[in-house]
Amino acid sequence: MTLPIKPKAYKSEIKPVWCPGCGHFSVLSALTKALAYLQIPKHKIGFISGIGCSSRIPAYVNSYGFHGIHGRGLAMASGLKAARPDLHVIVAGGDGDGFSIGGNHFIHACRRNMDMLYIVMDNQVYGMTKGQASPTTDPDWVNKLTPHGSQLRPFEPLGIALASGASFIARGFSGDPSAMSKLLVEAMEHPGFSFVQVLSPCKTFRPEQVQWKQQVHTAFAESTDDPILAAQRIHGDDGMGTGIVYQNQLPVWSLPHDTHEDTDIDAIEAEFLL
Amino acid sequence: MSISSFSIAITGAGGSGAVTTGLILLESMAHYGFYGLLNRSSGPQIRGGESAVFIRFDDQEVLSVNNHFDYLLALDWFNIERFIDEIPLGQSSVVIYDSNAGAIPEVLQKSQAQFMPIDFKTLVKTIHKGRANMIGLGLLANTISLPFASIETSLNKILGRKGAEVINTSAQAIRLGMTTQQEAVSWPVRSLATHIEANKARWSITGNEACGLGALKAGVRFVAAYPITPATEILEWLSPRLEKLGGGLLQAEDELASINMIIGASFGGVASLTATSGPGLSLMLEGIGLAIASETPVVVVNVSRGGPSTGIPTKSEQSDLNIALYGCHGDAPHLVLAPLNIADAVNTTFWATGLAEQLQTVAIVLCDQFIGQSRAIIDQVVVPQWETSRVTEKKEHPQNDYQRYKITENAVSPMSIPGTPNCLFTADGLEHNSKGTPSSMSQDHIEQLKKRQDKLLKFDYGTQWAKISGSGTMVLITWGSSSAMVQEAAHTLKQDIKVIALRLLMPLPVEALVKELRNSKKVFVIEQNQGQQLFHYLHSYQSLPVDAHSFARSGPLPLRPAEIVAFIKEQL
Amino acid sequence: MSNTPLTIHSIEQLLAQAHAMKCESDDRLHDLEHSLREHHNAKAAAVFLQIRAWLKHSINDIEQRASAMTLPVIPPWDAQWSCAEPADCACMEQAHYLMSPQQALKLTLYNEQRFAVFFDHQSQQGATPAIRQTAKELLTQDKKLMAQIQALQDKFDPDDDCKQDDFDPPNTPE
Repeated sequence: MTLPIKPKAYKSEIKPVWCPGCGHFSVLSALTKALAYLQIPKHKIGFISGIGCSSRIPAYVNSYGFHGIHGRGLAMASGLKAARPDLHVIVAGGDGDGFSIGGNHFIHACRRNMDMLYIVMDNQVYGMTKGQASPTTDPDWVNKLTPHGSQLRPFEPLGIALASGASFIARGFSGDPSAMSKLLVEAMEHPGFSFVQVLSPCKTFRPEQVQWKQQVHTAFAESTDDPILAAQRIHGDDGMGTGIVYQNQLPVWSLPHDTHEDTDIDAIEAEFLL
Repeated sequence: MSISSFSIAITGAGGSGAVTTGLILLESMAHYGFYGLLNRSSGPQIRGGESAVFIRFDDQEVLSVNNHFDYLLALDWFNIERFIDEIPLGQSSVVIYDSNAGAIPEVLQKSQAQFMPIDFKTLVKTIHKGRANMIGLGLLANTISLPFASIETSLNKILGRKGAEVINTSAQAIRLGMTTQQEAVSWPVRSLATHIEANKARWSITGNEACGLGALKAGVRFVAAYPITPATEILEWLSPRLEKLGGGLLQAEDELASINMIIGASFGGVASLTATSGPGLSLMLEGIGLAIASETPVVVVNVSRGGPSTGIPTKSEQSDLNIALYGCHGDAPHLVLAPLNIADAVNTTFWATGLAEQLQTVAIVLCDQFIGQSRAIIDQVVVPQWETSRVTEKKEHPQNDYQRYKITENAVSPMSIPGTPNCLFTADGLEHNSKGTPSSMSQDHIEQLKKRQDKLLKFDYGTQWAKISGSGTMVLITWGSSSAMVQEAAHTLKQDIKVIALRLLMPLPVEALVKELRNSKKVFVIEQNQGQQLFHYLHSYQSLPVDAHSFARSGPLPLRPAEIVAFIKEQL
Repeated sequence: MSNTPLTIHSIEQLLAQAHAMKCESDDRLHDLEHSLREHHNAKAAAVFLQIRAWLKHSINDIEQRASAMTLPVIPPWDAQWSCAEPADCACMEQAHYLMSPQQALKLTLYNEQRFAVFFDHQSQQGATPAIRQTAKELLTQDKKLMAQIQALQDKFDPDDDCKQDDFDPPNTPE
């Protein structure tokens, strides 16, 4: 056992305040194992998040991090990656952060297909604010804010990711951390925007999610690079299927660099001369 | 302004080429040795709408609008009602118009100006593919004694892209205009005398370009932005040039993304900027708060339009002061600076960027449409040797004891850049302790609030905080694009007047301002907004005498020196 | 992760698997211990702390055995850590901030029982006698640990199995 950086080394000394039994512990664990497997230097990681229980994760990881504002993690990460393509950029957040207020940024981040990993810890609830429906909540889940339930068809992140141009789309489950580690390694090795939706039960506000253990199943044993097949998979998906839905080598966006001209600021200033 | 100052307005609709005429004229006068300031106005159509160009010329730098126009070249009368407020005419003014364009519009009939009809239709026919606007240009050139040689260079520069045939035809038309017989009128300008030093380096530049240049010179290498009138030109100018310098521009999906992207890039160690207008600035406020709380340097250039809400996107107003000062929730001290004019926009944006980097905070640069979208001939700007770099932490902390937000003498704590080993930290919008760990403890909140305020208040901003000219017991205080008009009003009044044109609005240099007002007897605060925003702001710091006067008028029309003079005289 | 015990071909592989499993268990108990402490459940936290101390002996023993060897690196997904079983299994997600020491012990016992299943299988089906012998020794250790846990269980009230009610409503920290 002679890994130079052990998984534990990726955990910061700050103890998570997640409720005991929260699925996010497994996500943190799986992520640190994935990072250790890939031996990514800690100081080369930029870990960005939004707001929510899931978004607390950067503080628990030994890396550079930024706990930003609600829904804007992907935007901040895109700016960081554009300016610092040498860094490994990871973004994390929850289903509310990512698919409600962050929805627009989600679509465009998929479109840009910048090389980064986006983990959404989906517990189908707004946990931080004490239990309201999120975009992925079932339509008839009764709660104080929407006593009739949301009455809306749940947001389908996998489908939207596919339509928006993401090149790696997968689903994991916090109750299967080993498989999740593998998924995260593959996601990080993939050149482009890797979107991993992790079903991660909320102990406190969705205790019935303990049943997910029986419902989650390996649906996508192998990835496909055929978008039509991927679409069919998503169409037939019951929301509980794990694996890589789609993985393809698509153009990865980064800032274009003009390699032809060797310009300096004086030349630019001289353009104004009469 | 010297006596050789004069103004020309050119109007026309749908393809008449009023704007091109104006640009060629400006460029030509520049080559002849004059300075000029050009701004334009248009209808709501994307193309083919009514258009107007306003130019003021002088043998020294032109900063202000005039009180009236000496010439109006009306290529047609389409919708001239839209512009007529912007073209005050006097008895000595001459309106050159197309005799085939129909009756002189009612709005102009009451004018006491001299009217000169020209049969453009017939004249145009004498040249294959000839255009009326070029004939008009020649006519104007002849009346002000601008030689053709000066126009020739400009033609190539401005019409170059249209090809040699167009250039030749235009040259022909201009020559025709120059030799066209005119009725006897009393021309406002007899001759042009130029006193410009030969080979003096001068620029033709817009305010938006000037902001962009200032930013590049200060080290900005990443921009994320969303197009918005009247700021888009900053972005379009920066985009290819950032790339040439090894940086780049990322077009964001909205302003919410823009501000967060530049925070991310700045966190990564790259000086970053975005540019927007009022509606976009409103969207960015939460992000601005995050940059302030996490002490991440960013620059936000706001090119003010008529407000509120969508307002008047193509017109200038100074009504975004309040949102720039007070827009963030919580106690969120930051920097607000405002350039005085186009040339000043280079240095002020440079200064703002340097301050943001040094003080690890947000600098909002309050430009406005008048500065941003006007083009001027100015002396080449040389940027002073101001500090621009941020204090970074390079020392490794193997014991994991790096304190990103440690309290220091000047309240600025060294910032480690991602990629530096053993210096890790997680930035946060949540209140935090000196290490950066989120904290709701009163001690930490008090300490960090004080840090973020102290670092701004303890800094020595030097003498750049305002441009102060003149002396006297009457003091005129102003900011932004109004400064030029106030300066000219002061000159007109021929009294001992001190003009304080503020550049640094937040933190307000209260002590320095109070010192400048010590012996004042009459103080006027002059600004272009309805809400007296600067007036109330200065009062809130008790920096004004109780009987200070407020001249506050909203856009869309620019303040004119004459109306400022009239107001002051009324109060005396 | 798999419920099907894989075929072990070498001592090194056996020890690598054992080490990975025990360390994984330690990590989770560490998380639980600290999490419960953060939530002011000192009693349950103390249980996990105790189990970790016992587990440490086991880990040290494996490391001792492996000191002269070079162990293969086991990717996390190939570790023999079975989890996704039917609801009556006491898995990590079953932890609760009001959990009793009895519930904590049940959870750790379940983990140890799965290790025992693995070692038991290898002690019979291992490819070489050396593997089978080592697996048998590790199994003995495990059984000892399980006995320790069960002994601890006897110290607590067997009915101390229900979650107390928290009369306070949840907080909104952010």
